Amino acid sequence: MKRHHSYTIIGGAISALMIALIVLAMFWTPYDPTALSVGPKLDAPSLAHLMGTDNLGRDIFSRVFEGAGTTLTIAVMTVAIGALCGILIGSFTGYYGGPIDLIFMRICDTVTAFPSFLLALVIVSVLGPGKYHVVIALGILFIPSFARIVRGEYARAVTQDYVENAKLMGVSSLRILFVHILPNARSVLFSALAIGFNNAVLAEASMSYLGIGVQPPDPSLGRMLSEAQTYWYSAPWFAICTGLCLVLLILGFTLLGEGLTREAGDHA
Amino acid sequence: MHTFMKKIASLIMTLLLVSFLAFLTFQIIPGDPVTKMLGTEYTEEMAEKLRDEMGLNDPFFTRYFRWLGDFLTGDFGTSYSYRQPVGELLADKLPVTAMLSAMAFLLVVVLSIPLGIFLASHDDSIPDRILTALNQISMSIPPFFLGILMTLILGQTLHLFVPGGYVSFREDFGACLAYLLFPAIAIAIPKTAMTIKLLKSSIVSEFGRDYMRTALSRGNSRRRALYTHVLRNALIPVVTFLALAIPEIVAGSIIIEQVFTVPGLGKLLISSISNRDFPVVCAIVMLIAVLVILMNFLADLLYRVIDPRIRVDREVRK
Amino acid sequence: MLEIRNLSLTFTGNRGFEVVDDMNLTVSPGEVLGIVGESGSGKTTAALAVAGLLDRKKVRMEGEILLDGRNLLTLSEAGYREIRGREIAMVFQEPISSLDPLMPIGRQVEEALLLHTDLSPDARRAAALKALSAVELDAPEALYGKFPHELSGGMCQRVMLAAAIVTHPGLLICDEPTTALDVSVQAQILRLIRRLAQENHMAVLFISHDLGVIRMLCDRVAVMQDGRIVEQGDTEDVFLHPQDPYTKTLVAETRRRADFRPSETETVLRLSHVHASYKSGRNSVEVLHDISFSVQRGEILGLVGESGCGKSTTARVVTGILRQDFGTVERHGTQPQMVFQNPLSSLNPAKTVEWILEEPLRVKGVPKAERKAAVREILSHVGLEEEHLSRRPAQLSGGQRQRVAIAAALIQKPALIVADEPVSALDVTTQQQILELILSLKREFGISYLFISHDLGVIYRICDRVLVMKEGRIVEQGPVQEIYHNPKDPYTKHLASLAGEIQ
Repeated sequence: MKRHHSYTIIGGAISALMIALIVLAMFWTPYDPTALSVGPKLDAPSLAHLMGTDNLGRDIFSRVFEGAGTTLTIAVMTVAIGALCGILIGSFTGYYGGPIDLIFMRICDTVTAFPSFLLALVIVSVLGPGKYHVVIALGILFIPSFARIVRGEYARAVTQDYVENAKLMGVSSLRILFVHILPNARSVLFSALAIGFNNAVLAEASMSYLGIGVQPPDPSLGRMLSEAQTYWYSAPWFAICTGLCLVLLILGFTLLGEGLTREAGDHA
Repeated sequence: MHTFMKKIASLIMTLLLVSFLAFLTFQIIPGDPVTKMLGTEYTEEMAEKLRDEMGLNDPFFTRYFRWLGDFLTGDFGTSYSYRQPVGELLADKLPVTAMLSAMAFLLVVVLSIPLGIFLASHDDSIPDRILTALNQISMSIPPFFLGILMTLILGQTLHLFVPGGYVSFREDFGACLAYLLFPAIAIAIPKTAMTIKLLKSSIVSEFGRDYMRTALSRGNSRRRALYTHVLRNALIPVVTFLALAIPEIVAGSIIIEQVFTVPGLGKLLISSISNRDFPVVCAIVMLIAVLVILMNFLADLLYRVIDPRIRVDREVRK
Repeated sequence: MLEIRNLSLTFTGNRGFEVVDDMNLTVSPGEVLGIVGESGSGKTTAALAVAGLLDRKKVRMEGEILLDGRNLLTLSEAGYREIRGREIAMVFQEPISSLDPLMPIGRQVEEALLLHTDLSPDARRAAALKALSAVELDAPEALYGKFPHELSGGMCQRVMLAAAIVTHPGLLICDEPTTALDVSVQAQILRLIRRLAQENHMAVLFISHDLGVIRMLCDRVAVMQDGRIVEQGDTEDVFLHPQDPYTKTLVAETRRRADFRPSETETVLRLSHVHASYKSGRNSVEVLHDISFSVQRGEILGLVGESGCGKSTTARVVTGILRQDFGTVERHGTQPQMVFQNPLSSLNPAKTVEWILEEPLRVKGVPKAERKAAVREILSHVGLEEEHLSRRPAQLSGGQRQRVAIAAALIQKPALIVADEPVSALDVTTQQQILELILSLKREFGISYLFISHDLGVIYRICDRVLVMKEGRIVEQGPVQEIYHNPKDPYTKHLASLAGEIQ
């Protein structure tokens, strides 16, 4: 019987709930998120509008979960790019070492030293704003951090006798890399995925808040928050509900990542 | 001193590499500035003449070194949208962002070190659990949302400050600092939470080391052992983290400035990105890059001062 | 000096269990008392109890610990602090990590004086320098400002001893202080402890799992098993006339050795004039110089030497992981396999035992049903059960892990197994079981071994022939009896005398 850390359970529950609502919102929302004046403008939360309505009379609940959907999609794509490339690069450089490894790690060190948000701004400033440009910018920026983590695990594994044993058995290098060593990097990868996911959500929301991320008509939590800020006096729920959704999305994965990391630590 | 010279050499190499990348990104990739400057009606001869005048037809490396030379002498070019030298634009904004970042960094240090020590020495007590949970949550709040909540609650509801009521430091330095305190808190909270967590786990793991047992066996109290032996060892990763947090804090202030409508580098950077005003973006990015590299360099030096093991040889890492 | 009466220690956790049961001991000034036992026998817990380093919230302590007639168990934590470092000092197993890495050596040596006396900084410094020279360290002035990482393990252990005796404590507790050190350094440290005890008229409580070390150093010995002292008395008495059955097996194990079986004439491995080197960066260092030897079928060839002498490099050349620079390596039969010192590192931690055992066959393309059958067959040979198959290495005991490692090598039917310190990390009983297993596999399958160890005692127990290595050269080789009883080379004589002293 494997008992889970309470963080894993709480984080898992929050994430599952959020993802369920977001997936649901992709097929069905109480109101059309883009339809104007489905209710009175800036109406307080009620049974008809769970989170109230915005300045154009749109249903906030529908819009929040649609926006969260965009955020989630971007985060998943970003992390997928970062993790896949990172695993490939990190495993080869960590396992084989040599000058290529040195040069690569030097580049990674330099890139990871910069705030990733800032680098994303640079890339977006050249490419121009937009959903896929954000994905490309963030995805590229996430590669070094994954590569570094994976490389560390592989560099450690090379000194382990089980790798030497596998060589003596005549196991091919590719099999050693991905069947023998990769499962040992599982726990660090899981927490890196959770952290990367959070960073992606945060970076996307920040960029959209600043108006240089996701562009209309794509919905986005960051942009909704910057709109909501204007209407604080008349409609505080607008900012609070939108922000809370963002916080829950991040909190769920933070806790999940933290819990998994601790469980991995307990096992070792 | 041999390693020190090596470090300086590698510092210069990194700076050159970054400047080269910046040159590529902002001077080469965006394409021909001449066509933008001339608008829609121009002849090819006019364009060619202008290119010659601006030196755009010179060989690649000539252009790079000229650009670098200008940069080093403080000539960052002219802003497309403000029609003003970039240096002048920055001179006004830079002190604001610098002050904001410095305040945020001080807050992080002042808050996190005592709290981290407190949590570590009361591991698993009730205040520890509550603070750990709060910590976990504050790490999950995007700083700009925290900023929005603060303007709403502390500013508009409790009237502790006037949102948007930034006073220039030239007019009233005290009032300026008082206003900047709030965005500084918004930037500092998540970083403080992370630092506390790192310091606490670092102290707790150092408590478990063999030398701690030795210290106790000589008659040290836990408290004395914490301050004479454990803390120095535990601070090593924290110092690295803090040094690397400085550029992140600067990046954070770029966002927070928007929330609190502080006229710093952030506002300038964002509007320049939207307007594709490359000379300005390039100058700001280069400034931050230099800051990042210098901080890395300092962190490395500091590391050597604290940890005698690294003074001998750091290349054992592999 | 120290008297322990009816001491019982019980962990009060959710499943409270007794670690030390009704312990009675006395140590007089100038005397060295050894406590010997396996890991988990309660010897370290007892020592920590004497030093008051057990968490009183987690351990219930009954009985009396009398130091000069005072019962230490009635002291408050603050009262105990007065005694620790002044009247009771401790030395631990890992010398380098037991010192604060960021504090200069000298300040650590004089720390106890700072805590317990009013001496001026100059007087403390003088006392620290004196203590450093008392533990036979050269140039104490130069050492004073150095950091632990700049010193060898043996030197760090001397520094620990200096820090312990600087306040002239009446009682010194040593918890496995030589286990992490090389054989020759080990002997020096033991002699030093002996001398310090006599000169300072200090009682020493010396804890070790190694009966050989105890015999070399201690006046009296207490044998512990499962938290109880099963026998105590004069060291020589206990050695020559053990009473308790457990003591008998312990003593027998240190003496035992396999019968010499002449091997067949079939050669499985021959190295001729092999030179090998390691590259680090641009420079390469030659570690093996002109190595020649052969292993016959069914033979156990021992390879003995201190750490850094090139033993493990030889293993890597034999298996082909490292290419030799010059010379030839002839391997007859299948690829040699390896058994390493630490099975936690040699078994993939992410996989189950079944996966690990199947992998070599899977790689060779053996069908699934045959693989399963082969795995089950091998289990019975190495003394494992089917229930172990679904476990991961971390869920097995040290001995079981080493059995899995041996099985993983064996399942590939190698002619030669290179065993690199395969029993060094195990306690005495398990060590004996694994050595038995190695011998029985040799008889059953005619497997040859290259058996690498720093411990001439272990080599003596199972090897047919032995090679002695020093600084990358073979200085002597021959039948184990001859090397052990008639060493010719000065270095071998040195090793044999150390082993003799310890045996």
